[in-house]
Amino acid sequence: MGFRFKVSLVFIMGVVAGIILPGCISYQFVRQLRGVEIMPPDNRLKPGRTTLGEVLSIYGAPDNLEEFGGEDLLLYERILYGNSGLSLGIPFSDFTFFNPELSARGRLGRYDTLAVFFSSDGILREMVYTKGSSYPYLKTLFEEERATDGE
Amino acid sequence: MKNTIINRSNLVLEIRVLGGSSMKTVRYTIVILSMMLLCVSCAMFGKSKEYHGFDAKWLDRFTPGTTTAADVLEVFGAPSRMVKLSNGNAYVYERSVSKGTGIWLVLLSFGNYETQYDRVVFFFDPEDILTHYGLSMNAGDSSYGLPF
Repeated sequence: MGFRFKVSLVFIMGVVAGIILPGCISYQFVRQLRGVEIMPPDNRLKPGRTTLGEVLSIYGAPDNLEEFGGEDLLLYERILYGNSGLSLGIPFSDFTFFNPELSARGRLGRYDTLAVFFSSDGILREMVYTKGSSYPYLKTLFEEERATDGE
Repeated sequence: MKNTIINRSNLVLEIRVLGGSSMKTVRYTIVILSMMLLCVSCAMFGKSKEYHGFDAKWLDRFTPGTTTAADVLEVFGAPSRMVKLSNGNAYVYERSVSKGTGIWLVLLSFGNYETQYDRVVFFFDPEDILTHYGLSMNAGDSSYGLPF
């Protein structure tokens, strides 16, 4: 009889905790990914020699393109967002006006980008590659911005 | 040896135990808490499309150097974007598929949202003659999953 009482008590406490706890404390993490992985440029891309057609056959259609100072810029981009949030609160709002809550949220966007510049005659002039997704999530999110020497 | 009877109609849980009860109490507590966890959890799957009707096979009809912008427009229809370039224009055709997955546990929730694109970009010279095109078909690679 005592054992049944204990189990029933645990059951009721479990139900109550299951209803109340999600409103009290919660942690969320959401990952958003846009685009496919971008290969770093290899020796097939040679400034002054490689043509627009060759770049298109290697990397496919660019994610973005625009005219930039008399040259054409093709951008290949993959974006990785990490959203996290921690909230603490007591859900009193159904009973009182008092509803204490403390929450902290962070969002980090990391970009893998290949920027390819072409002269107006379609010859590769310059390229820049950045792999932002290699930066660690938490360290990058909490790192304070440092002013450079020039600022 | 144990015997468990769960009567769902009035949520009475009856457990008969033969042997020591303290270890079994812990065990049943874990089972019940796990059940509670599952009962207040949920999962979500979602999919969205930004559709533009085009097919990569249609590119076989075009020949750089002879195909005109009008030919492309006739087959592919209105582009998603047009971009002015240093020596001509580019027409961009684009569509996307997004897939989302979410899991809510009692205190933790996780989500994953992935968007991939199908894209064709046509490059035209100032006389509107096709010079190049680039193709990326990745929308089908969009997938459900967890964020880790």
